[in-house]
Amino acid sequence: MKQVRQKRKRKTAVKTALMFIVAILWVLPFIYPILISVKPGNEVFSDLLGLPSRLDFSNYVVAWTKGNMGRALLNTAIITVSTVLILVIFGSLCAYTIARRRGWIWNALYLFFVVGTILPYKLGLLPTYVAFNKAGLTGTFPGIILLQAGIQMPMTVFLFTGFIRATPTMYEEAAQIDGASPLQTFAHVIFPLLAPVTATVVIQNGISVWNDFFLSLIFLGGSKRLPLSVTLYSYIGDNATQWNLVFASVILSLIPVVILFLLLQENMMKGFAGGIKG
Amino acid sequence: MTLQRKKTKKYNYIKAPWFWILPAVALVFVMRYATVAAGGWYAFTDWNGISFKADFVGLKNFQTLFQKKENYRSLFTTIRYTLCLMIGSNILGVVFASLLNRGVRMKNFLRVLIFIPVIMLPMSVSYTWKFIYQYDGPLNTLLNSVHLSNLATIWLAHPKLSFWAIMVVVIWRWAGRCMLIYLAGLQNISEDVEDAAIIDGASAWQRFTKISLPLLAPSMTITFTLTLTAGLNIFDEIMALTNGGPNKLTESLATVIYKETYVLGNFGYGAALSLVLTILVVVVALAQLLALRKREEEMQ
Repeated sequence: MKQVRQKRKRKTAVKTALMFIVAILWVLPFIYPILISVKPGNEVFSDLLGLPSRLDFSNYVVAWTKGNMGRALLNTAIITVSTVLILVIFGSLCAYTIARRRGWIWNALYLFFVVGTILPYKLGLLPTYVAFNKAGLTGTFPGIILLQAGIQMPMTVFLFTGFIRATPTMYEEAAQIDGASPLQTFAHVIFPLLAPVTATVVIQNGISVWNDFFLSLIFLGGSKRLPLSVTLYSYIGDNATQWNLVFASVILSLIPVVILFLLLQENMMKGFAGGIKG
Repeated sequence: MTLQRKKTKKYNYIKAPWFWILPAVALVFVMRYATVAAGGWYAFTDWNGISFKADFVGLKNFQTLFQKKENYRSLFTTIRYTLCLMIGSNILGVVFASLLNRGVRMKNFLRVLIFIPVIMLPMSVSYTWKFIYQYDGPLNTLLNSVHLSNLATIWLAHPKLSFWAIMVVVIWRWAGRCMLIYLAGLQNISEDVEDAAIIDGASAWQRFTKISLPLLAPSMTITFTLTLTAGLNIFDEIMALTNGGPNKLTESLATVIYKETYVLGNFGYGAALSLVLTILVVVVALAQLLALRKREEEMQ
């Protein structure tokens, strides 16, 4: 056993060094834009591979003020947070019911969501647009939130159901014997147990909604509620040659998602592991 | 699975109210099923997407579709994209996951680095790489500075290399996601089993193939399904990097559909093409899912 430990220790050092090199090479296409984003404007093409002579953060200020990034950031946050809330609340309630009830109807309902994950929503986009337009939902927050929630819901229910099926029933049984109502049982006993899979749902859906470009372009185009991705797109279109400005806005748009990922990473791994077992 | 079923059956009196499912079911029914059905119906019409008039034309759109040679070419390109994406991102995902599982210091930090391409805005990823691939961009400058200037080329306009230039970006964006799912699968393997195998003199390769790989079967089912559907629907990177060029060589089915529908206004024809792609994705994904599930059961 001792020999194994020693051997492992040596290997750890080698592996760590190796992985550091690999990881740095891997994110090089990402570090590079950071370098460019703090380069003074005239250095971008004169010295393409070199380090910046001094750190110039004015690109960030310009990108933030001229690119309308503040408003876009707020819009994206409103859309993402509302969508994720709807998905977590209604997705977990639905999945819990499906996972705990028996009978062909509930199996069929499970299949309804599984097939839903594969259906290509892009095929229905234009009819949806026409209908939304008639209902006055294009260019509004409720419209895009309902659309996003409907599109992401099948995967959410699928993940929750798999996890709940693998969760033992004894806690909720005890709560019910103590006289708790179904909603109380769910809110105080079940939901806290779902933390790992909830983290998975929040990260997966949060990233998809935050990063969405296509839907927002079609359904919010021309309104004041444009999210970061579309704002960035039009801003880049206007400044395609000023790469330092472009990359400053790229980095700005990335910061919130990286923070979210760092916060939820560990929990999400457990959620995935649970989903795979179930 | 069957054991679990029996156990829960005993507690059948725990009843969640049936109406708890309503909001989710209504949302999915309207936003997924109804809209796709509506879109599917237009495949049999000559709707141009603007007017209110759509005449039923039967299978005419499908006839045109199967006659056009360029559709077969973009189908072939899409299959090539899909296979390369599946192979590339899964190999890299497994390798990264087994190296970053345990026995590495600062593994959380390293995991985040590998995962960064996954969480970047697809738009940002594409613009970053477009800049790297530019003729006077960093990649060619690097090649020139290490005296390999004969390798420097017009990456995104090259008839053969443009495909691989796109592929590198797509795999870069997917490998981290595969890694995360494989890492989750590896959490189910206890350290003791590996220690025992080391004492018994099993080589690293033997431990990988005999212990890790069988236990990764469920993760593989997920990553294969994800990368398969992603590959068949590949769109963003092509639009941003080459816009289907040079000479339509990098065009995928999804970009053809987009252009027919939104650029050329042939909505009926675009919907027909989209329906064919849908059927392709559903059939291939389900067939693969069943095959992988069967393999999972055999391995356990």
